[in-house]
Amino acid sequence: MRVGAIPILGGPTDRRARAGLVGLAFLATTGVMASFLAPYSPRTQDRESFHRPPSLPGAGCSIRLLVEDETGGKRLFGFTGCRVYLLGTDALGRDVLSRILYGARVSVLSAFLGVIFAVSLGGLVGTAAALGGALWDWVLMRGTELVMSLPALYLILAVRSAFPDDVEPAWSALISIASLAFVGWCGVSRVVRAHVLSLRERDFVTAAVAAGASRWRIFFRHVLPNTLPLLWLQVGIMLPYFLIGEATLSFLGLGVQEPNPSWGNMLAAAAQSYTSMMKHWWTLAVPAGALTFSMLAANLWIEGTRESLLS
Amino acid sequence: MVRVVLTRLLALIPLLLGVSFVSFLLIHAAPGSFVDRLRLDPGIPPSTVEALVNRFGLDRPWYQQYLSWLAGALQGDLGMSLAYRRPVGELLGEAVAYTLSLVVAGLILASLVGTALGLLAVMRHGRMLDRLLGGLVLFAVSVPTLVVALAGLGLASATGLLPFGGGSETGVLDARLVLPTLILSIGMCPLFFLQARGGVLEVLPADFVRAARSRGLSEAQILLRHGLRPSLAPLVSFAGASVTRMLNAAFVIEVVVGWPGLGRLALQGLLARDPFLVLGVLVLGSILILFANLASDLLLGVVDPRIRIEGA
Repeated sequence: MRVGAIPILGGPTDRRARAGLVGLAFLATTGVMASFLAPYSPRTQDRESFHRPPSLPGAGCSIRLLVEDETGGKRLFGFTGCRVYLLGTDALGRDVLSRILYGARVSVLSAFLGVIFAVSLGGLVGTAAALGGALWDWVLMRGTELVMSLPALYLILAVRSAFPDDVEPAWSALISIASLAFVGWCGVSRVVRAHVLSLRERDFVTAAVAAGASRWRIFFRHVLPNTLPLLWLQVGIMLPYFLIGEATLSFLGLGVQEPNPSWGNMLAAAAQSYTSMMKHWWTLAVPAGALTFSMLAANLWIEGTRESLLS
Repeated sequence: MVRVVLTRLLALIPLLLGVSFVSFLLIHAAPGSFVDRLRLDPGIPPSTVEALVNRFGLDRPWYQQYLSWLAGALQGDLGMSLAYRRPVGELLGEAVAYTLSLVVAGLILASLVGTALGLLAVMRHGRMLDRLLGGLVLFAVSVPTLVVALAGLGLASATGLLPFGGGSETGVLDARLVLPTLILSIGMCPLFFLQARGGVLEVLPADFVRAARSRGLSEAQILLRHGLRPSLAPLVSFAGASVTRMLNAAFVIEVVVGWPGLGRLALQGLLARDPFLVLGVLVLGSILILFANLASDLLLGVVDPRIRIEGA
């Protein structure tokens, strides 16, 4: 494994990795800039336009760029003389496009925070188990075994419901992320442990020990740089996990609550009456497409970088 | 062989104890218990609630409650579901049959189709079909089960081709099993495809394959007997390890299409904050996972006699 081989910094050479990275960057941008990109507020209801199919602006209706909305916030574009819903409206007459963009914010936040949390905790525990002595190793690894022998989704839901559910939307998102991370770090820690154990036997570590280097020096100079590519790979593996995990929690009603949008609760709202689901296909297809798109981007990226990281 | 199974089973005991203890702590930490909600309901007299609390000892300290649950569980009594007013053991027994039928049917379908497609890709290695299948797989892996399930439900209800749903009167092998099984295998099939394709491609350069070819065996015989046979071992251990993944997928599918399995029961238990039901579901779920791993380890010895477990 090459030291410090983090392809994102030098620009990935693999086509799939590049395509995936572009997709992820697009997702991150939409999430961060949702309030600027969305034409409407995600909660505004148009009581004359329930379940309106996607449409383009017709005659007597013009698109204006860089408009101010009612609250004085800047928006990239708006319409004058009409209300146009490019991706249609949902059962309550809310703009699906705006809700998808604001929902991306939840997905991006959950993927970002969750991955940082799970990978750093998993890395820490894995390294501690490998280098901290037999007792630590035993305790930590029995702990991960315990978590991993429980069915993941059942456990995540049980952890989530150990917290109050009538909290502020931001808190509820954080609790969902923490519940997902609680289960997600175990896999990371086992991979990191195995890797650090094999590094410990390598000649350059033996040489450093013989040269009288301290434990911390060995860790920072020899072990950590050689573990970074592996951690980076774990970031890629955890991304889809948090994206889909957050959507599933929200779908089951244990994540982001209405009226705040998330891709999961948009799917739940669309599925509420399955007989009309196909008639109002856009309420289902748009969040489903957004979720699939972001999963595809994450998977492309990880498939494209896997080989260069592990070579 | 018997000794191996017994030692493995014994090793599960501390793990299951840990699982039940952690699960109990989680449930106990949850705010707003089932009883708290009953107390808020003006339609229920306080004396009824107190009777319930006394009957199940819900006012005792948590460790006493855990120990008495454990003592009961060892004798096969998993407690009462407060929301369903039925023994948890009965509820679990009904639900697990549905989940098992779904998981087993999905596993069979996905492994057969996935392996067959994998072999097909090997036969056309590097050509159009192989690449097409590879691209399709990357896409199929990326479509979340939730989305597949919703799309399947929408299609089934719009076209009326497949029945879905189900209640306690539904048989375990009902026609309504077809839709959830299809949905489950769409997600699992690509993973078996990748395993089979990768495994066979890895063996093909081996000398015994060259020897088989030089003896003039047909390509099909070479692929099945000399390519697939040695790659069965990783496939089997993959199948065992994928049970966790399948249980997760089955959870989502059961909730979406209304198949009355463990996932649906668990969700209802969690939403009602039904303590013993949730505890039972979690413990049963980990028993399923641990036994699936054990079964696939034992099957490994059958598939590849070189890796019979020590002492067998």
